[in-house]
Amino acid sequence: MAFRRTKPCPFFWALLSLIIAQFLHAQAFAEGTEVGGFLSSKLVPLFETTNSFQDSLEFRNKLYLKASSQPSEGTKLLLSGRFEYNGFLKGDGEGDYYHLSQVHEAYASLSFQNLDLNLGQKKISWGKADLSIVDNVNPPDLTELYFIEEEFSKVPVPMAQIDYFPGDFKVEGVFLPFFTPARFTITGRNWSLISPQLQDLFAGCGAGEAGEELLGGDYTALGIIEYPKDDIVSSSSFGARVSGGRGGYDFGASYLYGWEPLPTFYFNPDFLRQLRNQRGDLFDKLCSISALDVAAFYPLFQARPRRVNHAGLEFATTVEDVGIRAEVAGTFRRGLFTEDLEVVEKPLLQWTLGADYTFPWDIYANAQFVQMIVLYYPGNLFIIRQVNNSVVGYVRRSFYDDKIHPELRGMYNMTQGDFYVSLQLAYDWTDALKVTAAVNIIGGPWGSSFLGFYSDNSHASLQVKYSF
Amino acid sequence: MWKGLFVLFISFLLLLPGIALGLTGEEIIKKVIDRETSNTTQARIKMTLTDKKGGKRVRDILSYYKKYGKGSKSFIRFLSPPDVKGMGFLHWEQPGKDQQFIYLPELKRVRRVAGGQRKKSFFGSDFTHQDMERREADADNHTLLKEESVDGHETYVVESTPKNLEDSQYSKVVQWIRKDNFIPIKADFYNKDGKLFKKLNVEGLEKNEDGTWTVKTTKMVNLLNEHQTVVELVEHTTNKPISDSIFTERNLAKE
Repeated sequence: MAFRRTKPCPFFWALLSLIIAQFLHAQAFAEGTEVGGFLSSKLVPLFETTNSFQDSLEFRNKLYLKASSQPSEGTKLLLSGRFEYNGFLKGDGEGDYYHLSQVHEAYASLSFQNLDLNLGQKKISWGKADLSIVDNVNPPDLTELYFIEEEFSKVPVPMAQIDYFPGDFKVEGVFLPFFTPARFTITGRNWSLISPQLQDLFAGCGAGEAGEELLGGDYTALGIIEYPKDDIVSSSSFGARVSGGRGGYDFGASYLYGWEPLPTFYFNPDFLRQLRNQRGDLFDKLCSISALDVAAFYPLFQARPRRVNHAGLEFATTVEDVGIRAEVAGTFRRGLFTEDLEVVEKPLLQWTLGADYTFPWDIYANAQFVQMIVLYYPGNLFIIRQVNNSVVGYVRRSFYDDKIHPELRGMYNMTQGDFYVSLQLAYDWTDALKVTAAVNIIGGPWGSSFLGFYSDNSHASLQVKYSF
Repeated sequence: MWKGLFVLFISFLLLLPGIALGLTGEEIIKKVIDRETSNTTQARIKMTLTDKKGGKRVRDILSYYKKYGKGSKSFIRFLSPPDVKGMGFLHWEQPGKDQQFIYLPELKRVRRVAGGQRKKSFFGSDFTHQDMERREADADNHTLLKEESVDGHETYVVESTPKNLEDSQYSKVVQWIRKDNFIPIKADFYNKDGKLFKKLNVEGLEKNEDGTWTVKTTKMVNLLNEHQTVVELVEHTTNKPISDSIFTERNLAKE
């Protein structure tokens, strides 16, 4: 992770951001060069803090700058940067403050007669569905789970991309010379892979202070994460996609030889053996092993990204006033946890069907069904069933001269009855200034569903975003 | 006797108002649709939205249009304001078959637009996506109501009602169509409740060198919420070659 701990200086950061924003406001600083971006500030209070690992209040300040230039016909350069100053306050008032500054996208785009060549760090989109199951080239940013701005939901990746356009079709090839990890934290934040609820469970069920220290602090005290070496031979990915449209129908097919977005955690075999000897469910077993025993198993885990093959098909059309989108995806050799925390490799088959429609009164609705099937199901996978059906969607409309935008968004049953519901109200104060208030409710059965681990993180948010 | 009747019939016809002797409502609308327009247009457009309190929002748009036989293709890109900058819109129009695509820069994704969304406001304006599509003459019943002088121009006043009410967002449209060039310079739009709710006015008509006409300013006023949209042509060229590549998804996805 590129986070660095620093002393809090929100006023300095805000001032600097405003000065830059004002300076760059809607002007080109060189002929043919355009600059834009946004400055946003978001407050996220939890409705309730149930354990000491939760941040009761997050504030996230982001400055996004994007400059693009077209030095000649058919040539385009783009550079964007992301600067963040984030604060996380515990219930007792103790706070952690981080800042981040990094290049977001940086690439050159060259266009020829029927060929485009893109070189550099960028994001691309594959697929037709809103929640695409074939869009796997860029790893996700999971630091805010589902509540991150769309601009930042994917991590840009260094790549060479060639698009060839024979007639109505597009043949696309991508080569990613290096491995780029997803953005996430393992512990310590509300949206970490080990959620505050899980941390609290381990800390409270016998691990004691030692366990709290282990799980609340730096993960390196527990185990090792190994990323692929920065050499092309061992870490590169590649893929291809063919897409096109005929007679009102859009089609696509893709293949990617890449990486799983998150590293797979392989636990110490001795630890797993001891775990198997305990009684109860997984959490009873985990709790029955003392922190000192855990420490004795160092490294408790060795985590590493896994190679994976993705193949996908896409389809979109409109039937009367209904937009239809569908995708099928096969993922080969996906690493999954058993209930004993062992890793098994299974192929996954997913398909999705989505539709959107505008009802009377300009109410726009978008719904999508996703089914994930674990082939050769071993019978004891953690959280994931053999057939997993989920629904995701949103409804929105605009009021008051298109200035007020209420939106209801939700997902149900990603794993075993979990859900989130988001009610959002955005107000366009001006074309440049938008204020958004939201209530996000997260729930699900504890211990048997993914979002169940985050169900204490229901929260409100208030964001002010100034675009320039 | 037969001769006498014939003379009487002719005399009766001559006494009828010019309407009956001239064009029917349908013929006028067909002339509006078939009138000579530029084969290509490239324009920079300023769209100003004004709410009832006088608050203004301005959108800068780059627009391309090209005829393809009986159909056409159009492409627009938003240049400002910042929250929609880079967004693109592609429209392939063929008789009886329309396809629309939108490019969303924050998602880097081209999306096919479903028909239902065509009845929605075009980016907060008082125009809908459907307002900007060509509507086939035989989709409506057309009646010539009267002839009237508007701002010194003689016009036909034609009322159009959809044959299939579900097919249109309006229950009735009344247009004032200039006799000399068959350009509608005024229109009243009635909602599904039969209530007048939008009024369109065309200003600044300009004749091009090739004999075609260009509308410089169009104003649409929503009478229900007192919101209005003014579309001004900041600069434009007509009948200059425009590459087919402009009207492709490839171009749409280039910000």
